Amino acid sequence: MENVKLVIRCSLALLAGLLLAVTPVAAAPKGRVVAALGSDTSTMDPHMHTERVGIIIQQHIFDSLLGRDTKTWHPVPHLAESVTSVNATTWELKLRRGVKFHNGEPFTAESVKFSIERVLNPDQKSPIRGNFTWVKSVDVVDDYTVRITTVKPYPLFHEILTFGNFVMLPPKYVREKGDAHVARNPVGTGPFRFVEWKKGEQTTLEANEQYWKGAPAIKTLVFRVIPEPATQIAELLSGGVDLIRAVPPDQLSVIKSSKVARVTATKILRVVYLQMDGDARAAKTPLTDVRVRRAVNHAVNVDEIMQKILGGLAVRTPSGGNPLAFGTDASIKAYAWDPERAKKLLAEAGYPGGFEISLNTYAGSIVNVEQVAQAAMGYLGQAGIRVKPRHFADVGQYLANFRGSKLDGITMASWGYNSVFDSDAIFYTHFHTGEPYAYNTAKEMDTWLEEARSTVDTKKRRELYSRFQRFIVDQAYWVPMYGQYTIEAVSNKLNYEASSDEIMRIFAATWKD
Amino acid sequence: MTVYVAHRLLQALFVCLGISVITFLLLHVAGDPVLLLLPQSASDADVALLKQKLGLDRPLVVQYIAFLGDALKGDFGQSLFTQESAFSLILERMPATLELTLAGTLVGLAVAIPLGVLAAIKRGSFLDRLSTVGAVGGQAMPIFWLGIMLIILFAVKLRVLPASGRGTLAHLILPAITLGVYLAPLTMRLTRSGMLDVLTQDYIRTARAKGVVERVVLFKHALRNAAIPIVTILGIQFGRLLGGAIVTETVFAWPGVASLAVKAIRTYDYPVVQGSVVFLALLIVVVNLLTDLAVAWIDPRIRLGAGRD
Repeated sequence: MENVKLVIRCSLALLAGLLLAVTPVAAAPKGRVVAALGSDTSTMDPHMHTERVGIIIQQHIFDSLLGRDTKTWHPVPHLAESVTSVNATTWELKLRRGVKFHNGEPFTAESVKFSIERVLNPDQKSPIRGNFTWVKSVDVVDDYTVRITTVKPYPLFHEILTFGNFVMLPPKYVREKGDAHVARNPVGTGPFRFVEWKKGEQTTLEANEQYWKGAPAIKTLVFRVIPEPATQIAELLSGGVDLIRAVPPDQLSVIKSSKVARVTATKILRVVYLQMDGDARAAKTPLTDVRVRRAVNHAVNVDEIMQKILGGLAVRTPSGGNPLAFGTDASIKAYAWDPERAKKLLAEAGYPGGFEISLNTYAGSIVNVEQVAQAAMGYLGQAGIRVKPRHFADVGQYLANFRGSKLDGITMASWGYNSVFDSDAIFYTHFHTGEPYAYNTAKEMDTWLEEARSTVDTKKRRELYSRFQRFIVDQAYWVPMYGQYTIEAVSNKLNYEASSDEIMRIFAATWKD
Repeated sequence: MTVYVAHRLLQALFVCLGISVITFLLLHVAGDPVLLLLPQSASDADVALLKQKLGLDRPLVVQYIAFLGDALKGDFGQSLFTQESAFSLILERMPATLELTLAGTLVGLAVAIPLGVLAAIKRGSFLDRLSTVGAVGGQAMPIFWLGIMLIILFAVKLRVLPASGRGTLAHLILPAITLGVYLAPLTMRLTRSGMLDVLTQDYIRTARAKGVVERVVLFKHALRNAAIPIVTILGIQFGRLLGGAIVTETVFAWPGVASLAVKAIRTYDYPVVQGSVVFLALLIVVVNLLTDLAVAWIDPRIRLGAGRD
């Protein structure tokens, strides 16, 4: 009998040993990682700003309802385990159970209702409210089921639930402590809990070991504010920081040749293009003639700009839409670089000697903007289009002029899709009558854009956007150029890759042992 | 003396008032914070609504008077971006800026005065020429470049000092040297010329003839008199020093008022810009007042002169 017991005991011990050996046991978080950001977030309240740096920090503290697959960038379940369409204007969300906020408060349907209604409340003055005005009501079905009713069919539903700022807040905590407290002491359900924020200096986070997706590999995560790129690189090379964002292309070789860090670059949503005032919205211009606009398209050698100025870190966008976004028609061909054809078209349009035109440019968002603008000016000059450059050193001024119908001629612009991977996020704003950035409009475009915006039928939407893109390319409303890359650098100690939605996923980074 | 101080303070009040009008007008002419607060795709209705909420749709004069009324109560308003009191944001950053400018001044003086004195005593020597060349070099060197070079040398190559940030004394060394080098050349050249001038005076010859020890001649009789223009210029240089602090704070990621103001200017955060500019202006006024008092203390003629007025 004793022997039998012993055999059983030994067998159990062996089995337990085997199980331990084969089951991956998540290692306890360890070590400290410092990431450098060029500026600080203005608030720790995710609903109260639109800044990229704030979104990056807060994506480590909070969770959104849907996440993104880091290969396809399609929305995937996160705090919401499923999203199903009940009818054209009602969506049902099943929520993950057993999730807790860092203060112990449970995450439930009530948290979702509270968070959405908080953003929508006009008194809250949330700057992202405009992105959510499609919500008609939020109804709690049970503790883990929510129904969201939209004003009209809303095809971007899944996309918007991944929105960087649109994260879940704990209702009880926010109501008890008030907004001013929340703005300095964020409490979320995310992979890291908030420790300290030294404004303008650094934010310290600590691993949330009870995180529903499993604890992160990093114990302490610090976001440091270092405005000067050269200082960021010096810190990276001296081991003071482990990650930097927005590496200037001319510094790539410095990092690549160092033995301590490497570069990680990936395609992002931001596209660069030459916008033309085809409606003569700002001033009388030859650009109202489609032949002139086609000539401008033939004049610019986009491929050479991508190779020579951006070192190949760019992706061609023949229709202007980013291949990463839903609805971009990959079968569309770009205008070929053909200066002779450009000159011929100009002569046909009545400008055999060319003409003079403004080229508006601005500082910010476009990588190597000066060189790209100079190249574009050179190409246009070769075709006989004499460019008068007009540079805005200030983004605010540039945007005010853009919206205020004051950007005459050609504008070298860029658009980041507001991180929504869908054609609606670029085409509606740029081509629908009455929109602040639309300098080229047509009745048929309005119809297609409105239709695509109000149906949830993906096949139909794809067709509409395809028709739309063929139209704008035929009409040569803009010179589509390229999609940019984000260029980050990371210490050799870490496994980490840059993301196409420009959120630094340090929570997913692991240590190289 | 009390009348003198009161007079200077009244002057300072008008300086601050003038500065507030100028910054207010310049900022409002330059751009619109609402466009930076909202997402790029915001509709014109969203823009109008936010403008109304922030009170930016009111006439400029009304906005300025409202600002002034609040400022007199010590309330510079709330930051448009953080919804926090601009005054408390500035106060939070003030110690860092004071620490940096003070350390920079000390480094600058510690280098400039001994070198200036030595160069004057050993006029025409190799040391004199070397320090003059060094001063010209220091003045010509962009502060930004110097900061980066120091970082590369001491943080990246030698790895003996941190590259940026604030915290320990080690963090203060490189920014203080950078700012000190910015301040030193002019001070050193003033010390040298001041000393040269004083050393040829009759009273120095008299002191030496009386058999006073050379050290006492140099530091009690000569330097004290040469110090008057140095101290005066130091007050005037303080404004320049704050300008240098803006660059130094940016290069070294030093969390001070200057870098706060730069960020606020970029984003048209009116309340923070106005608050910081008025604050920095006040600081310059106070420092100049203190240097004037110091000059009066060093030079009894000024004290007595003021008394007679």
